[in-house]
Amino acid sequence: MILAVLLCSFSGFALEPGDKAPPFVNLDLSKHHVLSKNYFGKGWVMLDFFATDCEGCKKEIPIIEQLYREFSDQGLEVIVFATDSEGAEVVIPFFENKPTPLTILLDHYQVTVKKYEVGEIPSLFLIDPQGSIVHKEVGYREDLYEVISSILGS
Amino acid sequence: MKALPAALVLALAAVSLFANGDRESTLTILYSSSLNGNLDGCECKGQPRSGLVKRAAWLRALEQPEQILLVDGGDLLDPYPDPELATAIFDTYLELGYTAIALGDQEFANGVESLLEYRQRYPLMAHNLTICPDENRCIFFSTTPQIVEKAGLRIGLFALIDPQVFTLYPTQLKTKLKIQDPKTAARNQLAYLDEQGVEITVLLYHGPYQSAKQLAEAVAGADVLILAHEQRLIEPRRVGDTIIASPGEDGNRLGILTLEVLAGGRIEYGNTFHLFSWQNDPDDPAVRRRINEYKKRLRERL
Repeated sequence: MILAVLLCSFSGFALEPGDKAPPFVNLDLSKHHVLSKNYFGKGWVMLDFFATDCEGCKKEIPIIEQLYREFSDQGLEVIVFATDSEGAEVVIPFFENKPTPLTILLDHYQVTVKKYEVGEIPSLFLIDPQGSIVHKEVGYREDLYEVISSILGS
Repeated sequence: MKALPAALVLALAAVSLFANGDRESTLTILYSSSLNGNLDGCECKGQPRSGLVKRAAWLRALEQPEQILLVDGGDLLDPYPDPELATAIFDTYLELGYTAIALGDQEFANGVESLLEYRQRYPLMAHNLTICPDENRCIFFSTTPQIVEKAGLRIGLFALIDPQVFTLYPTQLKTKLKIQDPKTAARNQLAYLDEQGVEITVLLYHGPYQSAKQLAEAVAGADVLILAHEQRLIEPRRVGDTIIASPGEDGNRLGILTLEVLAGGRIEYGNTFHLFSWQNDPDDPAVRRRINEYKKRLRERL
């Protein structure tokens, strides 16, 4: 019994659908502060935790861009948190080479990673207009577009 | 068995000599490292190994173990693959109540997938390591430092692994690992712990002494740095405001570090090492049973 309790304690208690999305404040690539309160409660928001040297993360970005193009006129906002510890030094060149319509924020201190209890990247959270997490994906999946568009289109 | 807690009493008494100011709190940290797979010990001429079986008996005899912080600097496992031995060692650490174990490079002995399973089941930490086991995901080995309360003190713990420890490892493994600069990672984790209002910060560092020393000189905020990897005994010393210590080779010693947190937050310390003897110290019966079962299965396999 004691062992079972201990075993559970190392598995972590990550945020799950139904939980309220924690607030955040992060810098964008122009060094402006971006606050979650300007997004949450106003429409659908997708948060993606990413790193420039994570293959699964890089494969996911075009799918997220496709979702953004398709659903932005319905109010979808997408924020990508770059978790690279080197920060802007590696993130800016990466997105200069691959321009994106998505909002890129720096999380090199992993402050938001901790708030969202992200253990793996890519990790994606879909947040409804009420500010609640309705869907979470951990790791890359090829059918991400179908999964997310079915929620946003329903 | 009565002599065992006496070692702690002596350590506490030694520390009281330092306590000139208003004594606020006393914390005892027990620290081990570099077990190198020695669940059992041996006479091993020239290189005696006491084995975890002796340390376990000593630890189980402690009074009020919940008030003591018990940590390990890593390299628990033998460098050669042996999943059964690994499980037996980790299960013993879990039973003994270790709060935190730094990830050592030898913990990769059974492969990345096994290590990721250990991470789920045991209090292993490496706050500057990301593992990408395949092309679809990367896993932060540890994200949030651990915060515990012991002896009325709020204690923050985190662990770092030095990139140099992987120098001789195969490229196949190294391409799966991303290791953040330890100094940068230390600053980040210490800032987080400071925000959380911890009173004592313990850093478990797996890497060379010189790197740990440079980190302590460059980054303020860690009160204690427990070191492992080089298999050498390092008597506690202050580098900047950080107390650095290592209990040395083959898991033979347990460090007993007692901190006096004085008014104003200043910390004084006393330390002693308990050297275990394979010949003279008692076995822990539960670990001896575990060893016998392991050896039986090993014989069957052979």
